[in-house]
Amino acid sequence: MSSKRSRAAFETDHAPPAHAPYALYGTPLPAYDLDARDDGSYVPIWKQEVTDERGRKRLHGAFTGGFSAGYFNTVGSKEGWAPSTFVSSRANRAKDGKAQSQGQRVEEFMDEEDLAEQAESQKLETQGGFAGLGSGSGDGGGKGMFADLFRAEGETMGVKLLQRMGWRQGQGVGPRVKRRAQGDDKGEAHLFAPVNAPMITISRKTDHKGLGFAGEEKLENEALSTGRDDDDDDERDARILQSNRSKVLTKPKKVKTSSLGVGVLNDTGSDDEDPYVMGPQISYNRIIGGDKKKKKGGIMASNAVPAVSRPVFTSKKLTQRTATSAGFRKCHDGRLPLDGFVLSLAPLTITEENKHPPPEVPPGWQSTKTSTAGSTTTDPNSTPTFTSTADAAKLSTLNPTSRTALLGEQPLPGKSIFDYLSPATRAKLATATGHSNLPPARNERAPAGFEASEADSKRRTLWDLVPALDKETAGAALQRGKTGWMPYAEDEGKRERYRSFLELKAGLRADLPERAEGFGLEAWGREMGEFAQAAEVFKPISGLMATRFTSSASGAPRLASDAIEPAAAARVERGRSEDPAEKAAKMGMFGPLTRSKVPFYPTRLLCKRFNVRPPANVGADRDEGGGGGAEGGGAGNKRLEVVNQASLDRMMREANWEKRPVAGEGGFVSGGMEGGSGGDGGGEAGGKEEELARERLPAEVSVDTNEALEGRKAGEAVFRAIFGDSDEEE
Amino acid sequence: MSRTTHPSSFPTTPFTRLTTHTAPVHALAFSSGSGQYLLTGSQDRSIRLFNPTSSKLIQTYSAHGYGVLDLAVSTDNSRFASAGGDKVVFIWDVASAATVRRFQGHAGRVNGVRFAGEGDAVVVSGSFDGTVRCWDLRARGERAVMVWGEARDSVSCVAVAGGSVWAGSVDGRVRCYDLRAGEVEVDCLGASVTSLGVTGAGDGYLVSTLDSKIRLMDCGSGACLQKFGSEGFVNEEYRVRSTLGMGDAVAISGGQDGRVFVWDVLSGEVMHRLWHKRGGEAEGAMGGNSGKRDVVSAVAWNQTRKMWASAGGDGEVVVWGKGD
Repeated sequence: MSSKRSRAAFETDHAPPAHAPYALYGTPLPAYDLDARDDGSYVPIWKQEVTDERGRKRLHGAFTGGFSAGYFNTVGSKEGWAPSTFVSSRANRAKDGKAQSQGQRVEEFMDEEDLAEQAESQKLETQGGFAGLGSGSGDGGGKGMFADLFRAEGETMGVKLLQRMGWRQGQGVGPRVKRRAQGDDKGEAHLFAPVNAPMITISRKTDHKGLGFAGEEKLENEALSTGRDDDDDDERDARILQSNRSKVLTKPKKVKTSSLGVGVLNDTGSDDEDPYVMGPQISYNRIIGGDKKKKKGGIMASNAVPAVSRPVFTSKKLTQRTATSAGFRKCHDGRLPLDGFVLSLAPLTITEENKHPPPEVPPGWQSTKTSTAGSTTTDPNSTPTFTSTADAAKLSTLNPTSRTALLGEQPLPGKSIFDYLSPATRAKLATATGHSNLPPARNERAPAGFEASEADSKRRTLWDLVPALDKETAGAALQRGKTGWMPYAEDEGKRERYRSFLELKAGLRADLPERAEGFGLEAWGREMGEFAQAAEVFKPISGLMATRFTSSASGAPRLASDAIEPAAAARVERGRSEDPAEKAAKMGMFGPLTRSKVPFYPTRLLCKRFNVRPPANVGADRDEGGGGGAEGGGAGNKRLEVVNQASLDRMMREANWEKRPVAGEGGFVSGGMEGGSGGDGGGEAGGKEEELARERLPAEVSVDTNEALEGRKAGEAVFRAIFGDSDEEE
Repeated sequence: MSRTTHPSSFPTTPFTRLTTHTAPVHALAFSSGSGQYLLTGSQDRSIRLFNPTSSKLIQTYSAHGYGVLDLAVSTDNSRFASAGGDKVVFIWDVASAATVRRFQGHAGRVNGVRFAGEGDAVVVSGSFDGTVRCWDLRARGERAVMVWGEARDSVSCVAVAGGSVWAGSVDGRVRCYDLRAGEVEVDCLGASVTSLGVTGAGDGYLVSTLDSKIRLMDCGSGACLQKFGSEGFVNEEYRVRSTLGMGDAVAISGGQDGRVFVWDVLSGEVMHRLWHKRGGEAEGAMGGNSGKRDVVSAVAWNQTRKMWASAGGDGEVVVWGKGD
């Protein structure tokens, strides 16, 4: 077979015996069966697939599947290869190349594993763990959650200070003790650091379990407890003393399972304890005062003690002594109590009743410092007592008048309003205000010169009818009426009344506004209310709004389609303050008087659309096109520099205007600025003029043409001379 | 050689009367170039294209929702602009009778519209809202390129010549926005401006004001070159357009009483008083009173064909030409 066979064809050809086509030595493997599920079965090499951890078919070797880098084991990417340090010099001159530093970073040489490692090392962590309140080190009980936040573990400032003074971890605090080394009975005595006595925490027993029984171990603490070093059976002994330790602290070391059975999970794998042993599972100390083997050679090894202080066993002898000789005991640090003190045997409890109640007050005892506020009123002649000024002021029954009398002052000449009130009015006031202690009403007559006349009082009542109105509003409305428009045009009398009302409110007059004939008081008041509203409505718009609007100079032109307004003609303004330009226009003095100039700033785009060089105030770019205007009208080149192009243009235009034939041929001959007008005569003059006008145009910036490249275009007169014909006339 | 534009040869014969509009006609515009066609914009919301010589209605353009107040034809006659009460400036395609662009932005009715710029790249419109807006036809944007808000009242008319845009306002002023110089020349006219027309050279403009006067002003100095008025010519109320004709040799304006007045520009004398109103001659002899139907609100001059048109409140368009 010379032609190439496909693999399938090859396999089908050799199907029955083709189970192992490549086996050259040994016994052939059993036939490959597609359906047979056998994980360890033979898979032909060509069917084996190498995938990476994500199931991708990539060749890997070594540890996690070998070297895999870049894009399909190339140094490139999907888009091809480009060195990361390459910076296009055209775009940005490798200026950030320096910042990135030419050398490669370490990360570039790291694979995923290394990167993961690095990322892990960069995690933020506290330097040491945090211990909760009261929890010992390594004790899993208090770990986690908020307890971690409370206290920093490790060296506190006190520890540091102690270390400065020569203290070491694991030693007790105090002067050195001369003794023999522990376990060494005959050796010479050395100075030892005092024993590190544990702090005894005494907590109340709150449960009903037996003494020393600390409950059953939780499963999860098993591992912890088994992991402990076994020299703290000493500690277990000490538990006799501290039998009531809180459960958190007293984790029993051995698994105290219930007697019902042991689950698989409870099986610690240790053979020495029989879970099915009968009897109490509580591990009490069965020997009191029995000497136990000590693994450590005393406190000598205290350097090896881990940095954290754990409750350390107090010597058994001590405990024995405490148990036996009650009166003569040492303190928990192993020293005798101070002279004159005896260690208390009674348990120290916090909740016990106070043993030292405050002394009894003897019956019949009277304090000299009792408050005398109440007694002053009853007995003013008693011993002088303290009264605050506020209290004194409250107690005082004097009023200003009596005080003046007491002080011997001259009464002030002024009179109270109550002096003039009648008692009835005062009563009214008292009920209205709710104060009954108003000064008495004297019902006096008004002083001379102030007596209210009869007409006056009547007018007062009339004044009450006049509505209130701001002075400014009234003034503004009045001003508006003067300059422009005023309501009530249809009723001259009413308008007059309105004006007088405004004048009154603006403070220009003082008498009552007159009343129209046949108007009752009520109608008069109503009319004035209307006036007040009208003034509010028709006052001129102020401030910003006023600048936004203007009344038209005259009637706006109407369209032929507009509805007829009969009153439109009547709307002629009078008395309007004219500006001088309008005055001049009215007088027909057109010219400089009526003309004013305001700068404005056309946008560049608009100038472009008009094909006009932007004016200087737009900030035109002057790099090109200066030549176009340079030849204009024989004006000197220098002048062009000095004089603004636009003003020059205007000057030229004006000059041309005067040059224009005014009489004679008649009419204003168009200069032919636009669209080839002026061709009616077809004369040379028109053509020349047009050309002149064209040349007078300032340099135009054209997007389409570039004169510098194309050279000068021939004037239109030339074109007309060649191609022009008579049908061009307009 | 004698100039054909001499005022004496002013055509005074009404040879066509176009009566298809049902409402007052506000705007007239001859087509550019040869001026073969006449475009009329009316209060009846339609724009009509006529052949004035044959008085044939060619096309009706209807997209406006309000009356049409002004028209402008582009130089190449392919498009025209219209504006009116619906605050929108429409750009029409003449052939397809459809709007090509619609420019919105004015806050009031648009009183005047003109093409401007090189190749008619810009449309300038003046509005009742007191602004002049320049719309870019080349760009796709719908916003105005520039908005000029100098006018303190409604802008009633705009005119364009070269690099300058004139805007006449009801506040009695004509503002010339000179793009080259970057300044606005404000000419105070004293009365509300109703019409503006620029001379062919762009150095003067004809302005109608509501004090029954038409003035030819000099652009350079702001001086009044000529004042046109006449007893009988009354324009105090309506927007009446005026125009220069015969190569700026005559000034034409309608009046409120149904007459059209033609002045000689040089002398300022009234040359003709022509009755636009049907049967006006007889009535005028009787001294009949004039209503708003009689207003001749628009006139347009066709330089190429030496004819002109007038239109007014009666909705009729009269085309005037040589008698023969």
